[in-house]
Amino acid sequence: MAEGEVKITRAERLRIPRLLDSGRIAKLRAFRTRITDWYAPALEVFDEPVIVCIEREGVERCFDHFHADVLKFEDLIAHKKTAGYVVSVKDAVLAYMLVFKRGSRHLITGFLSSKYADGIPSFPEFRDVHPETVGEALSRLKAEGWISG
Amino acid sequence: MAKYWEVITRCPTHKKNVYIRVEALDADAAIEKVLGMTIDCPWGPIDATGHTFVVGFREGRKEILGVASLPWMPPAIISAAQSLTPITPVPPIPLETIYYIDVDVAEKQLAKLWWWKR
Repeated sequence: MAEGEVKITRAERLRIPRLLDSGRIAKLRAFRTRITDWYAPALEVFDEPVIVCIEREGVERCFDHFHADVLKFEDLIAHKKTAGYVVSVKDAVLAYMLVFKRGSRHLITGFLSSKYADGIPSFPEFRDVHPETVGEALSRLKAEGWISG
Repeated sequence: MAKYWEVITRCPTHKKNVYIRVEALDADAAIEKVLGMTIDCPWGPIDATGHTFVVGFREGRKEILGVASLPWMPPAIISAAQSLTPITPVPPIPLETIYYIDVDVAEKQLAKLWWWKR
């Protein structure tokens, strides 16, 4: 399959404000501890899904990465960092595959290099990642038996 | 125009509507035809045996609740129901090679992350 013409037309991390419902505020108040007394919880939370659109020969496909899954991905990366490792692109690709179960070169590249509307990268370590690098990581993971494709 | 009529009367035992279809030239002729007719009640027996009733007069009025022509509209303006629009299948050609991970493997690895949750 000729993959050279694939383009990432959109790689955006949205920031959708959502008002805390009264139930959640009540829960926060009920479970207030000595530590959480120090600050007032924000009344506004954000859903931050990642939208990636890729296009080839006029056909465009958009993929929505839900906020809960993005949090899971960030959690995996944070765990590796906390353990003292340097998180490589290969680790990020494996984390992506673990969370989202499927992926392709440009899709993962778009996800890792996605940005907020104001231009701030959502994953600063991987903001300059290239499809070739991701493809190499995918090939290695395939050779190691983690993924199939 | 309509040759068939549906005359609505009421079963005196069940107190439920009974619809009688007759062939007549107009609504009045249909009512005349129905009056005096002995009807085997379609609502079934109220006890062990079924019952019949005669369409007649009650309290000085005809026991006719209404008359409707069949079909409701002239056949010329009744159209056949449209069938479903055929869906043109879109071939699911991936834009590039998609890689998959075994779901069981992924879940096992993710479970290791939150090892304290059991």
